[in-house]
Amino acid sequence: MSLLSVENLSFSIDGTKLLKNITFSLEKGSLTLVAGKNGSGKSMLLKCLKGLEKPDEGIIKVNGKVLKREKERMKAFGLVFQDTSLEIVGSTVRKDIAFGLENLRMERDIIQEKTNRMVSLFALEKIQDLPPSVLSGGEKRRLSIAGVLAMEPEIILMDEPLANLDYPSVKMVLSTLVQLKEKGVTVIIVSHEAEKLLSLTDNTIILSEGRLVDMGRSKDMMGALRDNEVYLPPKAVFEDLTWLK
Amino acid sequence: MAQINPFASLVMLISASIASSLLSGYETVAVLLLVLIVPFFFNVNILKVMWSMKVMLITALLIFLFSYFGKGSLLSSISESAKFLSVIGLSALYIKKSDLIDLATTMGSILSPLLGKRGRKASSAVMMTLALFPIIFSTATEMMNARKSRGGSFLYHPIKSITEYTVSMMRLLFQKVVIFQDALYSRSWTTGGERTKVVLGKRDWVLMILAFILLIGFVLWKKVF
Repeated sequence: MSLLSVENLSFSIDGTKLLKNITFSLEKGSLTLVAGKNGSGKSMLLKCLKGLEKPDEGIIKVNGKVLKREKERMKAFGLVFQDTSLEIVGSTVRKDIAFGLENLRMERDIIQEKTNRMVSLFALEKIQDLPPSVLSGGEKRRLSIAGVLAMEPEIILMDEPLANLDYPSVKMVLSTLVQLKEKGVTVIIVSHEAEKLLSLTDNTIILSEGRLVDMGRSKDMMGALRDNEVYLPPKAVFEDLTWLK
Repeated sequence: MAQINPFASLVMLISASIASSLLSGYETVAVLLLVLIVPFFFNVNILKVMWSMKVMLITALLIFLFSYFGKGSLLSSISESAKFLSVIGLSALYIKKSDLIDLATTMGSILSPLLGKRGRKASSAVMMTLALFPIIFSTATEMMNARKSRGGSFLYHPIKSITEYTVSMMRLLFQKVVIFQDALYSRSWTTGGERTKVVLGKRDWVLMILAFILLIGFVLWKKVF
């Protein structure tokens, strides 16, 4: 059984349809890339899944259960935003990881335990008491992911996780994605930068003008990505499409 | 110095404010001199700190001038200025030494028994406002630099320039606020929602008891002497 099943998801603003009958399903533990040109509806898809926007129609199921209410989608999905400066709120790394857990009104000792686990998992020990303002781009991104993962969502959504990062920071984030995959975490990534992470992903979904135009195993989607004006280096081999090497 | 529990900071702030309001003119000047001299023993560059507080210093100077020309007493005017600086300084310390999120959570805990959900909503509003200050400053600076780099100047047609700048900045800020709000909601934060309470540590209890004892002692001393 699929972990996530989306059926006929549609969303419009002021009569303009931004998502049109999106249907797909994903297995547990998969890493999926959502690609497409600007304005194709990628970020809006993440917002609808997360519950930040209410779709006009469609069914979202996680583990076979239909998520009708916004609260259910908020709990099932974790969303890592593109702009970390607007997402990180804690005065220290530890406090930021604990922020979401405090919102869930967990007991203090459970918050402490989960925060310690995230600090250890993402190797944040040396910087855990530092203010987020002094962190590098890659460290901030890892902190954002840690803060979301601490809340134990079923699926993690990431909006342009590699945007505005230098090469070392990109490698740091890609290593984190590999780590998440090894832990069996289901991740959906929206990114323009297919050439940096395609070979790490299991599946690729291509959106165009709000429609899902193609979907398949990532290794079979190179031609479709190029046809939909998503950049891939010419003559590139699938295994080379990662900056982690 | 590590962060202090906001409730403990609030108790100390209230105690210091009450004590400050009971000081006579000479006592205020003595405290002010202490505030200026003591930092030298801790290698704190008091002039640098004062320069960073220049807006408050200008306001204190205005209070002094209005008081002096109104009442004609130099000591009384200095005392009023000093009291203003001490309350504002302590409030700034309260905000600086307390975690922003803990501050809002504690405020909500204090206000909610009195005002119910409205109390927590008020504290959420305070938290959002404080969290947005760095975003506002960085956005404003970014826009100003972008305009300067294209030859823009507020001195040329100042009203038009400032109006355009303000409108553009507000529009950009609203977009950032929406993203910020989405980021908070996506981590289960809700306006007026309850959160895990902030715990008072041993040091916080010691500081509160000390502040209370000093306040009572000071009030008694004033009554006796």
